[in-house]
Amino acid sequence: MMVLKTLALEPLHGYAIARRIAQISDGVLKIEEGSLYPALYRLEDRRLIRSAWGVSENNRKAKFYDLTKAGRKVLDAATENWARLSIAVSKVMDTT
Amino acid sequence: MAVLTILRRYFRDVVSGPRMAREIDQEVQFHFDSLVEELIARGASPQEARTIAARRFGRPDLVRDAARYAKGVGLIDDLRQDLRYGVRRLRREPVFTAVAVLTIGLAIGLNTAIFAVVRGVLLRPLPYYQPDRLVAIWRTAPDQPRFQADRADFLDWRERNTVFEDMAASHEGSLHYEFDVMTRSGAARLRGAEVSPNLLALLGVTPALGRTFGPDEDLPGRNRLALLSAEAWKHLFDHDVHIVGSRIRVNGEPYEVIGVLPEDIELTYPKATALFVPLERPRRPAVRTNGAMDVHVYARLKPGVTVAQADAAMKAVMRSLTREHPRMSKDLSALVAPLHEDRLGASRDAARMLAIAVALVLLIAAVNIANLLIARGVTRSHEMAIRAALGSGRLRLVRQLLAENLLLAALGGATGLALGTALTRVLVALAPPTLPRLDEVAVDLTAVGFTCASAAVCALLFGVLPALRATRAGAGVALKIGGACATGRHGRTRAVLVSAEVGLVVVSLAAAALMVTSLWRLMHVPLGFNPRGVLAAEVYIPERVYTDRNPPADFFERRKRGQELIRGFADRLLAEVRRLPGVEFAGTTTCLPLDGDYALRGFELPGSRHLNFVSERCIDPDYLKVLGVRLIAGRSFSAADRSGPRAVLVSRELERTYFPGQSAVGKRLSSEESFEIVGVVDDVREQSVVTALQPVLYFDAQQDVAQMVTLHLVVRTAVDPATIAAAVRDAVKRVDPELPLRNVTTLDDLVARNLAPTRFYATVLASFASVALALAAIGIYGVLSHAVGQRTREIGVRIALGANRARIAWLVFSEVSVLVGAGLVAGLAATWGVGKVIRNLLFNVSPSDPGVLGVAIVTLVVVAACAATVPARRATRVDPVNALRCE
Repeated sequence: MMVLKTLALEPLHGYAIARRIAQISDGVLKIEEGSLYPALYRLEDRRLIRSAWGVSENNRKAKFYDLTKAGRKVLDAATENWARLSIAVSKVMDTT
Repeated sequence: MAVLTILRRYFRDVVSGPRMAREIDQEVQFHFDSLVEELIARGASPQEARTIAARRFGRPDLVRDAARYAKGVGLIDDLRQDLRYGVRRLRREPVFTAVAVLTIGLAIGLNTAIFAVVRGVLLRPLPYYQPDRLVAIWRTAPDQPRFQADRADFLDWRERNTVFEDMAASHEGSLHYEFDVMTRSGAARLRGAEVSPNLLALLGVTPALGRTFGPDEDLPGRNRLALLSAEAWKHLFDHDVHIVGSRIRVNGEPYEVIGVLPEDIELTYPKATALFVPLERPRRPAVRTNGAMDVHVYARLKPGVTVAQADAAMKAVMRSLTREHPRMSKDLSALVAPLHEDRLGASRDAARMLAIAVALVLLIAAVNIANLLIARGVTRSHEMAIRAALGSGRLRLVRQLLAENLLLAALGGATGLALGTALTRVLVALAPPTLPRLDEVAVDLTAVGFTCASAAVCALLFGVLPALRATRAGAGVALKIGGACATGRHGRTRAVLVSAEVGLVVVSLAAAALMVTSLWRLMHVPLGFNPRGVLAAEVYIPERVYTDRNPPADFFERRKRGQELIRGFADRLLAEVRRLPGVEFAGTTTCLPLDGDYALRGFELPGSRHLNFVSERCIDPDYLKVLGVRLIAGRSFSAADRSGPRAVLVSRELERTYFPGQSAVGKRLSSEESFEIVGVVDDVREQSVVTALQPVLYFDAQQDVAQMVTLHLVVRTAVDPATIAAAVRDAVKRVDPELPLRNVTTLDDLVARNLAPTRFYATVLASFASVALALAAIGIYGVLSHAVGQRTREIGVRIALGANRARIAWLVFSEVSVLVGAGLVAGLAATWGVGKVIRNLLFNVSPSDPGVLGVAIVTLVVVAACAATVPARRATRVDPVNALRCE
C-alpha cells in the first residue's frame, strides 16, 4: 500500500521508493531491499504497477515504476480502508 | 487456468529468462550503487559505504532469487533442480532404477500394444463422412436375427422411407462374388460387388481418380462400368493413371473403368473387394414373396433421427408390407443397426476384455513400484528428516520425490513405447483374422499420447502415497531412530498394497483360467463329423460352363438347363478325383461346415403358415461318407429320388425342434416345393465350432434343386490329405484346364482356424496372468523379506526363548495368509464383475465356475507360498546371538 502511495505522485525507481518511504515516515519505516523488489514484482505481476526503463537523476539507467489504473483503484480502496481502520484504532487507543 | 498461468510464466522464463535475470541484476545494482553514493555523500569512505550497503542488502543473489519467486518463475527453477537431483539419485541406485524402469516399461508396453489394437478395432470411427449417422438395415425373423434383404424389399423400403436421407444396396453374393478380369498381367479373378450408384455418395467417399456412378448408370445397357479399389489398381494395373476411361474385360464383357477408390477405404464387407460395378436397378416382381437373401442395405439417418426411431419406423414398414402381401411371411421384420457396431460384432467384447486384462497388469506394476518406493522411502527417511530439519517444507519434499517418480515414469514410458511398438506387431501377427480392421492397427500419435498419459497416471499412482509417507515422519523421530529402523505403519501400507495386488492377480488368473478352459472345451466339442484325412477345396464354376450355346428362351427352361450343365460338370469332376490313388470317397457340397459361411432356407410345415429359417446345404450323396456323418434314421438319397417325389434329409436338431418326440422320417415339409423327409443324420457343427447346434436341411444335388456356382469339393483320403492336393488340382485341370482350385485346405486346418480366436485370447490372457503372477510374487517376496529384516530382533528373542523353526516359519506364513486371504476375497468379488464382460467370449463355462476359479486360487496360493519360502527360511536361520547383538 505504501509503495502504491509513493507512486501515486510520480513514477519512481526502486531506490527512490525506498528513500521516499523512509523520508516521509521520518525514518520510522524502513523498507528492506530484500523485500522491496519482490514486492514490486508481485505488484507488477498483479498489474497494479507497470515498469519502464528510464534515466535517473544522476544520469544512469534505472527502472521506473508507475501506477496502473487498476493500481490506482486498489490504492483508493486501501487508503479508505486504512483511514477507517486507523481512526478506529486511534479512537480505541484514546478512550482507554 | 492456474495451469495456463504457470505455463505462461514458464514460457516467459524460458524465452526471456536470461534477460529477465539480467534486468533484475541491473536494477538491484543500481539500487546498491545509489545507496553507496548516498552514504559517501553523507561522509563515509567508499570502503565503509560499500560494507554498510552490502550489510543492508544481505546477499544480492538471495534478493534476486526472492525477486524471481515473486515473478512466479521460482517454481520452475525448483522443478529443474528437483529433476537434476532426481537424475543423480537414480544414477546412484542403478539396480533399483533398472527394476523400476523395466517394470513400468513392461506394463506400459503391454498397454500401448493393447491400446493400439483396441483402438484400431473399437474406437476409431469408420472412414466415412459422419459415420455415426450410417446404419445397416437387415431383415429379421424370430429364429434368424439378421439376414439380407430381397431387392424388392429394398425398393419398398426406399419408397416408404421417412427416416433416412438416402438408402443404398450392395450385392456381394451369398458367398464370394467374383469376376474374371483381364488385367495387364493376364487373367485374374477379383472379388467384386455390385453396388447401387448412390452408395459412394451415401458413405461420403469420393474416388481418388475419375468419377463415381451416375444416377442412371444402373440401367441395363448403361451399366457396363467399373470402379477399382486402390489395391487392385496398384497391383494389377500398375498405378496406371490412364486406366480411367479404358476398357477391361469382366466375365468376357467389356467394362469401362470410370474411377479408382481412395486407399484404405472399404465400401462393403468382406474386405479386399477389388471391383465394383453398378447393381442393376431392381424391378418389382409380379408377386411379392419372401424373396431371396440377396442384398445388404445401407442408409444414412436424417439429422436428429436416432437409430431406435429408424428401427421402429422400419419395423412399421415391414408390418404393413407383410399385411399387404399374403405370400410374405408375417414373421418377417426389419432391424436397423449402427454401421460401426454392425461391422464390429463380437470383437467389441474381446477388445474390452483385452483392455481390462492389460489395465490389471498396469495396476499390478504400479502397486509393485509403490512397494519398492515405500521400501526405499524407509531407507531414505533419514535423508528426508535431515532435509526437513534444514527447513524444507513438506510440500517441497513431496515435490522432490514426485519429480523423481516422474523421471522413473518417463524412462519407463520410453521403454514401454519401444516395447509396445514391437508387441503390437506380435499381437497383430498372432491375432485371428476374424478381428475386423486389424490391418488398421498401428502405434501412431494417439497411441503415443496414450502411452504418455498412462506413464503420467502411473507416476501419480505409485508416487504420491509413498511420497506422502516418506515425508510424514517428524524430523525428530526419524533422526533419533536413525536409518536402520522404521515404524510399523510402513509395513501396514505395504501389506494393504500387496493384498490389493493379490486381488488384481486373482482377476487376471481367473480370466485366463476361464479362457483356457473354454479353449479346452472347444477342442473337445463333438463336431458330428470326422475331420481327419479330409481335403477340401473350392471350385468356382465359370459362367461359360452353365451357359448353353443355344439357350432356351424360357427363363425356367434356361435355369433347368444351366443346372443340368453344372451337375454334369460336377459329376465329371468327381469321377476324375475318385480315380486318384489314395482317394476313398469324394463328394460336393454348397457349404462347408465350420467355414463361417451358411445359406439359409425358409420352410413351412404342412398346415402351418409359419416360416422357419434353417441352414441348408445341397450335397452329393457321397458327402456324408466323406465327412463320416452318421445316418441316424431312415435312408440316404438314392438314384430313385431323381424321378420320384422330392426327398430331403434333416439333421437331428431339426427333428428335435420341429418334430419333438416323434420321428421325422416320412414327414413332409414345403419350401417352394413339397419334400418328403427320407432320413435323419447326426448333428454337425455348422458355421463354426462355437455356434450352437442348428437345424439343417440337406438337399440332393442330383435332384436339380437350386444350384450354386461355388462348389466345395471334399475328398476323404487314405493318405495325408495335404500330399494329395497337387493330384486333385491336376485332376480338376483335366476336366477344365482353366478352372482354378481355391482355398485348398484340410478339415483339420479348418477346425484349428475355428479355435484361433479363443486360442489367441487364451494365449494373451495367460501371458498377462503370468506377468501379473510374477509381479505379485516379487511383491510378496519384497514385503516379507522386508518384514523379516525388521523383525530380526523379535525373531532372535523368540528363538532364544525356545521357539522351534517350524513356529518361526509359521510366523512368516501366517502373515502371508492374511495378505493373500484378504486379496483373494476382494479378487473373487472383482472377478464376478469382470465375468459379465467376458461371458460372451467363453465357451461352455460359466464365469463363476467353481472348478476353474479354484484352479486360479490354488495357483495363486502356491505361488504366494513359494514367494514366502525364501524369507521364511531366512527367518528360521536367524542367529539369536547376532540378532540380539545388533542392539
